[in-house]
Amino acid sequence: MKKSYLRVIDQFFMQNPEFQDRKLKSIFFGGGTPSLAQPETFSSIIHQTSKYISFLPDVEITMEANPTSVESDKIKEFKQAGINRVSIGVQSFDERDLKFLGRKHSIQEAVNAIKIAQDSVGQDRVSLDLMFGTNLHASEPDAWKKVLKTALDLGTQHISLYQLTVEKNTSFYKKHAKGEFNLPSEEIYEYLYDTAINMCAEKGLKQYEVSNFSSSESTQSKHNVQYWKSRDYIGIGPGAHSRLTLPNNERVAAVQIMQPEQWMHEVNGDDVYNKIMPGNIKVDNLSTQERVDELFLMGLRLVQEGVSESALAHHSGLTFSSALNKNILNQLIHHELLRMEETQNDKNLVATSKGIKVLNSVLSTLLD
Amino acid sequence: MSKFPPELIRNFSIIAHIDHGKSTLADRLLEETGVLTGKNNRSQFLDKLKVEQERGITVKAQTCAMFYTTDDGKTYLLNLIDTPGHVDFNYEVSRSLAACSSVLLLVDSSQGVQAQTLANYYLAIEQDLTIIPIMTKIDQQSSQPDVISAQMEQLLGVENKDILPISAKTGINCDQVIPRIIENGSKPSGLVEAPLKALLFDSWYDEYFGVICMVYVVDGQLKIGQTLISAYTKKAYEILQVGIMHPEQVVTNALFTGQVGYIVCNMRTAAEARVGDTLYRKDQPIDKPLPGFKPAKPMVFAGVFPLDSENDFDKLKDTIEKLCLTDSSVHITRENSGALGMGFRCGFLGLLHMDVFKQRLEQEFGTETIITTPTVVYKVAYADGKEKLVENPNEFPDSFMTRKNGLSANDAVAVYEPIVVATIVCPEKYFLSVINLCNERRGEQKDIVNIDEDRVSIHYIMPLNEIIHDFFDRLKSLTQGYATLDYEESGYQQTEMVKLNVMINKESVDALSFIVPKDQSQFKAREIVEKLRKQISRQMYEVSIQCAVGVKVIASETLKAFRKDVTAKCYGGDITRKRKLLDKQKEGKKKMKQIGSVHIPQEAFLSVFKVDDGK
Repeated sequence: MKKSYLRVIDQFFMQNPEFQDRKLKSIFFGGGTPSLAQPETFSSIIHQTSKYISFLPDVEITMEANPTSVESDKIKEFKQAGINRVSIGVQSFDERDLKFLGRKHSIQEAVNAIKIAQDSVGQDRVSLDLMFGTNLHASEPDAWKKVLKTALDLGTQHISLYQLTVEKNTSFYKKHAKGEFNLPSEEIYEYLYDTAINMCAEKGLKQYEVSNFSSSESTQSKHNVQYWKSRDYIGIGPGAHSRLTLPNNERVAAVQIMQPEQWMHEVNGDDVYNKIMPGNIKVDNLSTQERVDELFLMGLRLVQEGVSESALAHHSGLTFSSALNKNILNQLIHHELLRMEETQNDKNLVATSKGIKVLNSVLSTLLD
Repeated sequence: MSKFPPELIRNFSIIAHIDHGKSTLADRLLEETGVLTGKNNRSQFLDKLKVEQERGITVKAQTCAMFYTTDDGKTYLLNLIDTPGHVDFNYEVSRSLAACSSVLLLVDSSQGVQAQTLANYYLAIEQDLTIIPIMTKIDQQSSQPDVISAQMEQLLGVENKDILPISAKTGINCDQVIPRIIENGSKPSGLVEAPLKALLFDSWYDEYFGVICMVYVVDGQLKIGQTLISAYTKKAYEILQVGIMHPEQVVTNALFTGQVGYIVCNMRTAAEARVGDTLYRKDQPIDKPLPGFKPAKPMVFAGVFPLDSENDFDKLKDTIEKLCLTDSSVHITRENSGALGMGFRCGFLGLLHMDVFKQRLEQEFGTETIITTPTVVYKVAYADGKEKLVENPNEFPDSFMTRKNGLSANDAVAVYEPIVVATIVCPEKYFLSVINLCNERRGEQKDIVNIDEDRVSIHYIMPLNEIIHDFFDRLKSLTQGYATLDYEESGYQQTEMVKLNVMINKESVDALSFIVPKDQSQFKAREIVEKLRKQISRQMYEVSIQCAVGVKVIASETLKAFRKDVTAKCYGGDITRKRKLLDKQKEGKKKMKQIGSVHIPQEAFLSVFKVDDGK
């Protein structure tokens, strides 16, 4: 497995030498339970990468972890291997939620894991994932407040929160269809979300993205900000996505083969489909329209800065007036869902707090 | 053809209530005279349009010439002139009958005299035709020949001895039909020496020949090469081909007095072939055209719009033009609706005509169309004495002035709606329910006649507006299917109607204007508003749905804005998925109509236009 990742890294930088002149902002080990891997794998990957490209001094190297004791024991070793940020999938500090969500850890284990992580990489480098909108919250919304309090009281400096979504063809879906549990009403969802924003703000965690809160700019997830600002990233591993700007200013979207065995086979084979790097099953040039769509789809999620006209120009050569429908834009602004901010050199289109809550609909209206 | 002077000609038609055996008898006669052999049966020749077959009714008339030699060696030319079977096509029936001298009047020996038996009978009497009564289906177990013939005597003024009982299915007595026609039927009464007068009583469109006309030569002769003029359009046509239907076109080059046949004359559209028109020779002008001609008068209107008005309008236009080639009675005008885009307003002779057209439209056009609720033509009277016919709800006045003084010329003062005389025949036990239904529908009782022990014939004056929606369906379900309905226009009566306007977020949706009786306005307004509320999904902003009469809002609903989408994660791998979702939503939006900032799905419009079943 490790060999395959290293091979892709080699091939990528050799086939696309211009990327060697860039600077690396962040490495993210994710996509499941990377904490099941060996720390040695991580150090090899980090080391190999550094051979081709120089790291920024404050480079962020993150790994995802589950709050079970098995994994938390290894965190120190991962730190030694080069990890400097940890994201823990806590989901909840309420036993009822954990049971409902089918999580394998207990509250105590979670708290321990967090403490160990904070000791290893520093309190400002640990992020927690929390989930709202469970069965419990439908009837007892204030249980959510307790969860948030616990998370904040632990000195957490970065929180990602998500709404429980029930997708078709899952066991959750079937159970819900049978009426085995309830989901919150729209009013309650709004309450849960607003509560989170307020409680985090009280403890100094500002909402910087639809689902993400941080104590300062430096504790934001550098890696994810890269996605939201439509900057470049290389995805390596089964199902990983890339967005890369080539020297001729074309932007490509690539995705790697989904199935691990097939991915490994491709990457290590002789007769490889080798566009950009081995293991890609699809590489597309993004059209201007697609680039614009992505810029807004992702950029408007950033609560403070939204999308800047300079970024729009960079991706498409267009301005707000040429890229968007004037009437629709004006209407959205009129209904206080978006606002336009002018600075000295630039203009930013930003979603308001009302607009952030219905961002999906705003986007589909705006990008029609 | 010159061998057949009027004495040897019998032009006749078969008239009957639906399913009383007309087609079967026609088949028999054609078989008897050798026109149809086993292989090419009626279904191929005499019911050409697919839709007619599906509906089981004959819409267009198709005619056939037969030859028969009697025992004394004389050969007769018999023209079976087929007539449309439905009340909507009364006029067409009357013109086809004008080409006849006799009719075979069929009555089912189990069912007896029905609404359309009578309707057709009266038409035949009006034209002074010889009636040859025939009782059909005597092979059936339920047949009651004695009872039915007594009924026929009483209601149709015929004598028992003249009634010929037959079974077209088994063949009993069928060989006597033609001799009966020859003996008792009349001959054509035209003048051989007079200038040509030909009655145009039917037409159809042929891809190669253009419009082919069925004509009845009243006076004079019609020959290939002549130039004929239409008394109605004044257009001239050269006869390129003449012949008889036997059963398909057989060229004869001439048609003589009293004869029936077809002509090909380079006519391009069906609208030029107006049923009832007189054709005469250019070089032999006539003083008066044949009597009884009426230009097509639509009774029922509906709007037809393509679902996707931007892309499909041209296609719809082409399809409708194509359908008009074969349908000379439908009236088409362009219509522009703010909500539905560009479309057409179509005028039909009746509900059946509209249904048939709709079906053909669906088949030809391929995709769905929006068909707005059928409406009738109202007469609006103004203060200056002028009257205007209004068929489009948008042109209907918003209000009427009831005061007598201080009116300006443009003030509308009264409205009149078209009424019909409806004849309903049903078993006595349903009598009360039927009366109730008619009263419910603003009918005025005219009279009630006992047809026999079991059945009554109910005459009501009804607003046409009440008939054209689901009246017939309700009638059928109230009477377990036994009731029959016939109606005929009967002028206008003053009424109180109002126009309902729908507004979405204060913007008027003109396609959703309805003209309703004043006392139904509250109810209907509620209904519309509720239907819309159910169909319009919540938007990012509040949506107000209002229904008003003039400026007064009489029903309204508000759709609250939704305040929260789903909060989910969105990282690298999610972008492509989100973009694809966005594309899908764009496609979905295209199918919706936008009123201001509100997106309204097609289903919302359709739900409001669709007539409720069984209310």
